Amino acid sequence: MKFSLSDDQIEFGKVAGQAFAKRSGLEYARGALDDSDLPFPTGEPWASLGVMELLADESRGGGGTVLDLVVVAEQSGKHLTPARLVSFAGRAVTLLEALGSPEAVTLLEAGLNGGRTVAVADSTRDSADRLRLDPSGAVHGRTAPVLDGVAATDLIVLAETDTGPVVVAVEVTSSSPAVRRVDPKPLDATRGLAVFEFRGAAAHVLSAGASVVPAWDRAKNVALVLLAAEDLGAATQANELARAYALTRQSFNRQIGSFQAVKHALVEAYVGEEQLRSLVWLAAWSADAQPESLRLYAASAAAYAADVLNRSAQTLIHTHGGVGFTWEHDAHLYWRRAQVDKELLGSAGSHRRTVASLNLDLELTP
Amino acid sequence: MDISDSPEESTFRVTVRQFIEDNLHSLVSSRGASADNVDTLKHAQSVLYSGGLVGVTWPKEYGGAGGTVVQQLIINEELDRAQAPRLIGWMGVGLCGPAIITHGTGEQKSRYLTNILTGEEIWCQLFSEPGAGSDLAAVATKAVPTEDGWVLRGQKVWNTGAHWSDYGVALARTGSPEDRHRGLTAFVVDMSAPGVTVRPLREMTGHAAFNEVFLEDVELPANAVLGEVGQGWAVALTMLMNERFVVGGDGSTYGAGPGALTSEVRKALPQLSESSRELVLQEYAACWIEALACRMTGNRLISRVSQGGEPGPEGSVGKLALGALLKRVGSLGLSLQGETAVFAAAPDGTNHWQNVAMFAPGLSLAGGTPEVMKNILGERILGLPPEPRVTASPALTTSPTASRDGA
Ligand SMILES: Cc1cc2nc3c(=O)[nH]c(=O)nc-3n(C[C@H](O)[C@H](O)[C@H](O)COP(=O)(O)OP(=O)(O)OC[C@H]3O[C@@H](n4cnc5c(N)ncnc54)[C@H](O)[C@@H]3O)c2cc1C
Repeated sequence: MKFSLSDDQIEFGKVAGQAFAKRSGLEYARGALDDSDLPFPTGEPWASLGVMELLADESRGGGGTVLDLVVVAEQSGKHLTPARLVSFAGRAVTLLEALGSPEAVTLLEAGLNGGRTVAVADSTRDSADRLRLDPSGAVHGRTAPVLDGVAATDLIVLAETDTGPVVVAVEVTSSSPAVRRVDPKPLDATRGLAVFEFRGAAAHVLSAGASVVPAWDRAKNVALVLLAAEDLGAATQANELARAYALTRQSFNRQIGSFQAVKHALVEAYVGEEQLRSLVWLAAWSADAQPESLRLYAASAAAYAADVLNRSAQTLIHTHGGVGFTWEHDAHLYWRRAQVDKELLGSAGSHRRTVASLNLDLELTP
Repeated sequence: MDISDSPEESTFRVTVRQFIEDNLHSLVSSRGASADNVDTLKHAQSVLYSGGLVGVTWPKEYGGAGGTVVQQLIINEELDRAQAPRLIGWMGVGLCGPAIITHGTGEQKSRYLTNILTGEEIWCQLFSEPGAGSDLAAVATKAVPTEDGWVLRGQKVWNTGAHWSDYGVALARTGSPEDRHRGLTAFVVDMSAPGVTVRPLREMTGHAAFNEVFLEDVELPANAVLGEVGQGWAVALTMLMNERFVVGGDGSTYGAGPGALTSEVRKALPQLSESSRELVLQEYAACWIEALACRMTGNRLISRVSQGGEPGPEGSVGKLALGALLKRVGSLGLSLQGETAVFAAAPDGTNHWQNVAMFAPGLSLAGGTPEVMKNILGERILGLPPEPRVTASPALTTSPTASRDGA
């Protein structure tokens, strides 16, 4: 058993941390709240780090592990960097590589060289609106909020047909009335969330057959692990900001960090962070080394991450007192992230259902 | 990173599992220690020792195997899996023995260590007093030097297993009370010495696993001092660090392991209404995930220690989290039992969840309360300022963190 990062991974994390700090997502997060037309970043700083292709085949410059990407995700989460890592480097790349068809590879390469902005969309939870492909090759239905949806040029969706599910790509930049993009003012702009409605949108099939569902599930679980890793980073940073303030702010002639009510709250947040780190690493390791456990560990990490980030963001605001509740302070940006992330790629409650059903051998709909 | 067993570890696990399987009957005869199964449990420990399953990390010269902490983890996991009771000599093996290895004389090492491992002699920790729990440096038991040794006077309390122990490590005052932790010395106390009276205290579980210990003019030879005179705090710290590691980080689950919980939930589900079913599944999953996190955080710590680190204040993370988890799991387990949960367990003590629920508060308190754990983590790991000390006595202000929180 060696349950720790390698020296290379630690070094990679440091380099990534510096790159994200330089182009901190905090500025975008704040800017987009005031100016909803601020263009959503999709290229830097990920491209300069060479992490977009990390999970791609070696022939495309990849060959890294999910754990490598988790190390980067923790850093991107720390700086509230927008969502490309989860949605593209994690999910789309894993999915398109697994599908492996010429159509999938073409789209993958277009995404990697920056020609297209590819995102992955899930069906809405409402069964009446679920995504369907009709016999003429057009898509109908509504998506759940899509990560990076505001900037996407192409969406990959799992659509139902009479003969089973197929994975298709839909171009969403055309002015066709068959595609409607709804992007109301977001709670946390860094996720780039938008909802799509398809009324007979033209689609081309990337892959069909028995293997598409396992490929889809694996890619989604990898994305969940990365989302949990970003939450870990955000929680770590929130804890650090709270700690730093507790050391400088004085009250009653004492540093507030010497009051147990404050100190103990910071410790509880820290314990959560450490426990989450264990679960995120376990899940990433399983994605690479023990794929049959990925679903269970990814759901565990994701459910736990939702709670941990929530508590850390709450503690961050609380520790700061009134100033923590102002628009000027960064605390609310972490709070926004916490509120939004716990609803992405399935709610914490649905992840707990997955954990329960896998352990108990129950057939539960998530 | 590779979380799975290495080839050597995996071979080791197979050997351990096989040994437990072949010798299981003598090990699972009883779930936990009580006054009337001490001999059985001592025998079980000697059997385990003969299989190399006790003190695997101890140096070979003291009867150990010079093995790794990961091997100890594997042994704990396999014992847990077999639902074997905890070693009766766990305090000796986990706390007192390591203190003797670190602080003891050559004579003490050769006299005591092997018998600790074989279960021949059982040890206990004589630290807490009615007036000194969290504030351990307030110890008032006095050790007075005599011509050829020491005389001990005072009272200890909450001492786990003292009534079946042969020896204890006592903390006593050899300096003035104002010296706080700098005026303490650790002693090896022969529990059969004249003047030692042990009175079992009944716990809320209904069992009596801890005791009051009265020390009335107990004469100790000069070689009963463990470590240096006046350096008892260093011995106490070694034991407390190990205690937190043994309680929170070594893979033991105290009956809160996911396995038992899963089978209880499976049994209860058919009887539940649709709405309580959802609540139970959510709570079950939350407990299961938290238990997984506790186990994995412990494994991370063990992995770090196995690469050359010491068990440090991080052990407190596990103790804190596990204490909270045990209460949550016990409460869920009981609620799943429906009506039977509200009646006292059968005389044979077979109600597992009642045992877990009734034991849970004790696990949180033993070895340092949650508040004390949070002070340790807050001050040692997060670097937050220490609590201001009472300034009534000038000596107190010069003793920065003189409490059980391990200064
Ligand atoms: C099951 C069990 C087994 C035990 N086994 C042993 C044993 O083998 N040997 C042994 O020597 N002792 C043993 N103990 C004793 C144990 O270490 C003490 O009970 C524990 O350290 C707390 O001390 P106390 O009981 O005096 O409580 P107190 O210290 O009086 O604490 C009372 C309350 O005040 C809080 N408090 C105290 N100080 C502070 C502070 N600075 N900040 C905030 N809150 C504070 C505590 O957290 C607690 O909630 C055992 C206890 C239990 C429950």
